[in-house]
Amino acid sequence: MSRYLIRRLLQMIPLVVGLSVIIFLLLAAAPGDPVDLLVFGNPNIKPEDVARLKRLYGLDQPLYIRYFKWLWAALHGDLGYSQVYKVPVLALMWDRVGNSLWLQIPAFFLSLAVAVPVGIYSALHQYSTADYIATFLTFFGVSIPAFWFGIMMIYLFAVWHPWTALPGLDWLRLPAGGFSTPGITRGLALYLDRLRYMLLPTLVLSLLFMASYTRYTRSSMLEVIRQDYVRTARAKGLAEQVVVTKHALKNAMIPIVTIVALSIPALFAGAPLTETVFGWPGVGRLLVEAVLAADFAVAQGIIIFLAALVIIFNLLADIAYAVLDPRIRYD
Amino acid sequence: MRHWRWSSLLLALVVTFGTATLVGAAPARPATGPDTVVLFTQQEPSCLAPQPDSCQMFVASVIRSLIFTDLVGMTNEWKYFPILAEKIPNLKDGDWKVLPGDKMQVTWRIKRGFTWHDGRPVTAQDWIWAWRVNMHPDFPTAGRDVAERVENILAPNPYQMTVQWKKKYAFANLGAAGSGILPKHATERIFRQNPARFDQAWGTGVPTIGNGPYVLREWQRGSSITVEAYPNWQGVPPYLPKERGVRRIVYRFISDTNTIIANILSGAADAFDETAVPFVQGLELEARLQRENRRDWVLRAEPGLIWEHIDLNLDNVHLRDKRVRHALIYAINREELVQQLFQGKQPVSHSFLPEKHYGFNRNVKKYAFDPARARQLLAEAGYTPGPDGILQKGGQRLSLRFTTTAGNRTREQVQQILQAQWRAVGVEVRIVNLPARAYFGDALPRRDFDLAMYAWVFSPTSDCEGLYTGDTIPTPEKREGQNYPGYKNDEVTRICHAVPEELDEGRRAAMLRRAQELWVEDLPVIPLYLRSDYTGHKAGLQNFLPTGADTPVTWNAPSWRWVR
Repeated sequence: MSRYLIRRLLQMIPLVVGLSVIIFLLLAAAPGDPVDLLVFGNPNIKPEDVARLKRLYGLDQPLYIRYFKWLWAALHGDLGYSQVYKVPVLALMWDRVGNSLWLQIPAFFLSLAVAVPVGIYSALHQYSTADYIATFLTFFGVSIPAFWFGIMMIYLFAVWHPWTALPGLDWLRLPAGGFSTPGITRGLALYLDRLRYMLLPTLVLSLLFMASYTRYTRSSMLEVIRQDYVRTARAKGLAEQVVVTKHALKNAMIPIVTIVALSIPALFAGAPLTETVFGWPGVGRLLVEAVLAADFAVAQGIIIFLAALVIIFNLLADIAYAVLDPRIRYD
Repeated sequence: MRHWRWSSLLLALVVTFGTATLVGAAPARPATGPDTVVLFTQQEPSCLAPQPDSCQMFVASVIRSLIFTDLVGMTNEWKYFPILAEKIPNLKDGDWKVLPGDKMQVTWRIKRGFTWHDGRPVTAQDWIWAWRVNMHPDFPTAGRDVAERVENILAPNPYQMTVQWKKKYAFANLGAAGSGILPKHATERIFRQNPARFDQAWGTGVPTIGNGPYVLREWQRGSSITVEAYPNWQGVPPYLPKERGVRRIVYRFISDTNTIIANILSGAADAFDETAVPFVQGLELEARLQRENRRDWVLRAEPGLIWEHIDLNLDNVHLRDKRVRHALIYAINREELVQQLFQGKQPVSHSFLPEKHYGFNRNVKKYAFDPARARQLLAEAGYTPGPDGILQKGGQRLSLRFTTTAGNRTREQVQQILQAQWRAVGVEVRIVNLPARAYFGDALPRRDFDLAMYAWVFSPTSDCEGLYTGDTIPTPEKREGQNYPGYKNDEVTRICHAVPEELDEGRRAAMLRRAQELWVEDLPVIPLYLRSDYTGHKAGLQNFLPTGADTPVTWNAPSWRWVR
């Protein structure tokens, strides 16, 4: 196992470097750089100023030199400067990843807490009314676009909110997007305020997560409970609860653990649509804005960071597989 | 009993929803308090350094005008007024002089008593410093057009400065050197450490020391900027008395326009600026507020300085012929287009200058919709209908490639309407659109189009130099200049080069009127319409006056107030 681990870790290095080359080339191949866009907004700019700016930003150099300079700096922990935000990419990413996690982690755990029991119940009571309802809701959750659902939630809770006329329900009139109320910067008030802003986007995100986790849990459980060893356990006269929890559930959880492990990088990636609709300053929204504004250093930094996370969590998922299923051996 | 329970529940719901609708219809009070305005906008500024061309986004200029102030300001009626200057220099009084060799000298007297937000006085050295920073070869500014015209700035005392100009410049009395103002005492050390990173080291957060009516208090990246009244402000306009004026302004950044509209409807926004709500959504919002009989919001669609037009590539074999260009404009119904798409709130333009511009020619030739005239002109140019109804000449079909930015719904609608109208007179138009980056970064500079629809953003002092001068036509090898149609008329070129050096506004206006006459006759461009921007505020907020120009709506923020 340790040899396998070392091999996989060593393989990760060329993989990340290769990815960085591809991402660098793809972004560089897109026409127009930040200076070109600047020129277009300013009819009075002179060609010598364009040349000066390109030199200052290093955009006049051949692609391979730009790449190696970027790689060398990245190895020293410097992912460059954002041309749009005028701050180091790492500092910008750090803040935004933090903001994304404020949404993603509660949504992730909330969805797991609901999806796994619902998926198990649904599988154990296949074709029951509850199963049909759960299946319909998961189908709904997988199918609806996040931005539409987000807008509906905003309309319902921020614009329309008829129930707030009832006494005691005023708190259910929620902010129509944003991150926090300016001016509230510390203490319990800050957390309560943040909670109000988080409620709607977290709800939207968790419903989307929930749908796919429920489907995985249900199908995995269905597969396991039809296996011979479960039938044998039942035949031996074991209590149904023991059969389900000790024999079926443990094995059914193996693919779910993999899916969950592979979803973790997505938590850091933020949710571009949900964050945009709710005006949440997360990494997903930052990535969309960076691509649109030709802010290459930021786009590149985020994509490579996410790619590295995907590779790392793939490895962790493989390890988790081996731990949970003794039949799997890595050499 | 059971029946009774259901009925009561139903009744409770009806009462609740009914009451809530009434309650929801009147969120006219300030979102957070009577001394605060919460303003919504779509973009977040990258930095707030006061040099106009190092932080170029429009929203940066809006917020910057709260924190920084300069010698001269402009009202919503496009009238200039002195803020930090004692008066605006002029030729008559002798504080603006033309020297031998067409050089100039402009003397500014600075008001005493203005301070930076750290209490240090604002002096002439702060303008001189800003100009030196702007001219440093390593400072990454995009604009030195004005700064480079200045030879030197002298300060005989802290409250007087003389700007020496290398040559005549028409707008020398609107600012010191086009470089803004910088607190020398607070920024000199940072600049000298790394000039290339100065805009990333200063003006990107709190503390940013300004000299304007408001102090930058909080910047939550990705979320909001809060400014608070600077108690020592002595500028124009003055603060309203303490108990009535707006002491705090919160700018909130939401990139999704639907979310901004939800905030407006829910009462969380007190006002929104020109960048917050796209025009079409502004129309829908206005209609909705009228439909719901809501009088708690005031919306305005103000024609601005963004000019939508279609460049005609004069290298194209068909478009080289003036008769074809004239036929193209006669064949389209621009009045109907702006009525259908914009309810007439984005007026048809007839020249390259907006109507509010001092040099606009009201008598310029106007091309009305006249398809018969279009057909006649095309016939005169030698075009005959081909087998498929498309005109042709010498075996070449009159087929043109029409480009614009892909994904821009309004432009795509305009394209489709125009395509159909041109088809009716026998001109085929093929729509080939590109993403904005590829379009502006590559296709336009290479002049890779037959018809190119996009917008120019003007200012109240804009002219035609660089756009329609014959020596600013870019080529695929040399992408210099922005005369994308490839227009060359010697008289227009001469006028456009001369305008920025003509000091007399009357003569300057006459020159621009002549240039427009020639340009409209030559028609290298089809003028379409002037874009309008929606701004809005709660009915209780007074003195919120958009300018319809590049001057931000915050120009008179110290005189905003809530009606109690």
